[in-house]
Amino acid sequence: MFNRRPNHSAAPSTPVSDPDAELLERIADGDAQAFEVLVSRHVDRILAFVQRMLGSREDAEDVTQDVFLKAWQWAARWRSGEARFSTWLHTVALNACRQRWRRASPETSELSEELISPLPQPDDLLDADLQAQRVRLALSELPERQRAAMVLSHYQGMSNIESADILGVSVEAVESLLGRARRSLRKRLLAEYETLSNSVR
Amino acid sequence: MSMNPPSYRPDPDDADKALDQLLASYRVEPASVALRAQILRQAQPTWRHNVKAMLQALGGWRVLAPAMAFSLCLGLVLPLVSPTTSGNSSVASDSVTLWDLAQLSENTEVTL
Repeated sequence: MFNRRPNHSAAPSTPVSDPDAELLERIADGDAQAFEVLVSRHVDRILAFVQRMLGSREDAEDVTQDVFLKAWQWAARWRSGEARFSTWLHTVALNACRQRWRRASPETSELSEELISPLPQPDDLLDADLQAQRVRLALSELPERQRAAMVLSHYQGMSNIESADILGVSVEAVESLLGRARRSLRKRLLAEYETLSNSVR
Repeated sequence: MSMNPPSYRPDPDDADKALDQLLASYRVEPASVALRAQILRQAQPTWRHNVKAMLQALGGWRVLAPAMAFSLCLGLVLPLVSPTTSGNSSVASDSVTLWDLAQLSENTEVTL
């Protein structure tokens, strides 16, 4: 793995098998085709992760470009066997998101008024897009670490150990973050959903 | 209309399942062809990438900037500390010599 902060979670004592290790060796030699394979393998997941973290497609595309540029530049310094490349890629993406937040104003300001409306209309129940927008809004209102834990665990399918590695916290802390995030989301989203269901009935 | 009996108590897991269903509605479109092309275009090694890589190899701006600032300060302070070897005095003495030469040439009468 690249030079990075010490692992707070249970560090693997045995080398981690990484399907990207061979590609990284080739990329270190400047093999553009290997880089293309690596991009096609990871770009959708990283883009989805960043977009769910930032809530903006445009910003997500910018950040995704930066993340893969770093991968291209740092491939020569990769030390295989210490961690999976996809875990490192998510760590870079999360740090890039944090930099975006520091530079930009809170992203809730960019959300439209209709999304902020606390009580949706019954017709919205059938509107999958609006439902997705409400999930996006609810996610964006979570504290940053809870949101990251939720997105990593629920959407990216990361294990708690991998999430802990990416977030730089213990596995117990990840479990706590997930618990709090789910409670907040349940309170926010299901309350709306039940209100809607009752009004439809 | 609800089909549940009046004594119905929802299973605690139901809320989690409902939440998972709601969360699943938030989908993200895959990366466009243009984005993939932009990423791959960045991977071409240009002089910018080489310079960047060189800077990173030297420790990055966090190391280089203080080092350059220190060198600049050293260049300013050293002539003051050791005036005998300073560049200013040698330039000044050269200037005087040149000036004297110019005076001489102006005041010298040339007779053929």
